[in-house]
Amino acid sequence: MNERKSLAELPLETFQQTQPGIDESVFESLGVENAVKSFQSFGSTAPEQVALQIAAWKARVSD
Amino acid sequence: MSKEKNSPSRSGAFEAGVDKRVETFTESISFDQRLFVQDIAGSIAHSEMLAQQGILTDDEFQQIKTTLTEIKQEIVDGEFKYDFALEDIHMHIEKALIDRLGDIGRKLHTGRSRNDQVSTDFRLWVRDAIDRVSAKLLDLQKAFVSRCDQDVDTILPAYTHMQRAQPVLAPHYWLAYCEKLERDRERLTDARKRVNSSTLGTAAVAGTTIDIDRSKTAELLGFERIVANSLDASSDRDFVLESAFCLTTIALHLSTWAEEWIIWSTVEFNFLDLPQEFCTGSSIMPQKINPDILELIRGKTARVVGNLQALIVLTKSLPLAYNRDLQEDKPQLFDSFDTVIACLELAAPLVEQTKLNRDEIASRLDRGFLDATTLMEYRIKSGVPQRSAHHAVGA
Repeated sequence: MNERKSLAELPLETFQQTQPGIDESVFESLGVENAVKSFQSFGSTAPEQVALQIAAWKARVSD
Repeated sequence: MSKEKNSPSRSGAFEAGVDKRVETFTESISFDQRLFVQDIAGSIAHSEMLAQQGILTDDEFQQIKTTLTEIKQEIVDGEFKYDFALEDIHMHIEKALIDRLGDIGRKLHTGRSRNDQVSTDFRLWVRDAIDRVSAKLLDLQKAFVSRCDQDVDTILPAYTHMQRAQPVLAPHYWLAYCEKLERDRERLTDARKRVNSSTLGTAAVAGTTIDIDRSKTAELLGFERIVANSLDASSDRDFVLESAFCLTTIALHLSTWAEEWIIWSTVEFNFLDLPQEFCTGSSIMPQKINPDILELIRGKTARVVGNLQALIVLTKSLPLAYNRDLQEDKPQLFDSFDTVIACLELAAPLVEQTKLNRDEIASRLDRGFLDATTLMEYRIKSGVPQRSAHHAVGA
């Protein structure tokens, strides 16, 4: 993590040097858009979760 | 030294008038005059109850009610004259009543004391003030919610230890503040239950031998409960402390938000543009657009925290029941309410009108390895133990 490249810019081989068994699917978790989409837990920043929160808050603050 | 027998609270027990310096030192009219609406409402309810109990005639009650209503209008219109010699708002209003009604006015204070009177007035005032703050909190929550749709596709860095941690959607930030403000509202609602208890008729400390009906005045003033013990009523300022604490958490939350947005508005961050209507310039540096409103919201938090501290120390070790020290409760709590309401009134439009610099934010999101934890969890889902994945990604 000392280089100035982002994780998504690294070639697959770089990951495989330290983490054997890693494959192309790793790139589905890299980059901030993919990272955000990867969240699943309740109350997380996953788009589905945030959409639920927004809907709930709209209902809560409506007069 | 002028020594006149000039205070209506001084009974026939006094042979000497009060020293003028004492008048100035002990007066509270300079700050408790804002209780006039509550004081008059309490007195009208008290006199109605006295009439119900046969202690006043209906005609006497009607004269008192009419005259107190006239006095209230004079205060609203700025025509009422204040005088330090009359000490506080209660004596001012009662003196004005007596000046106009004579002995009928002198009957008003039957079965009560200034101790329960001030507690009643202050509880009524705090009850209304809590409702005002709750409404302002809701306005700020609405402001945050109103941004959510427009910012739903904007990703911001979340920070821990002020270092980039993980990526989050901008509405996740906005709704985090809504959650904090909701707890603030809940705390106020809960505190309000204990504020909304009637002490009227507990008199000075032990109650009264007059056949009053405390339930009647509680009902007329909209109190939900009656404080059961006159010693407790005379000494209790828990409702002041609780309110001050509720206001402190609001101020702390606002200070966190203000600090965050001050940082985000710097050239170094450049995450957002504050509306210029809510910024000020520098007298010497022409390029400066300063976030003074946010800085003052952050700074005024100190007053609210300080007021809570002062109130805690004020009530520490006070023996039962009423002590004159308690007069010092009002300036602090008034200031905390005024400060928090003023901050909330400015926070809502600031939240609504600030613009996120989406392109600027996006251009630097690949810095700081915001996706490192997602990579680690990707490896965990592939069967790698968490500690091993944590170590490998860090490498």
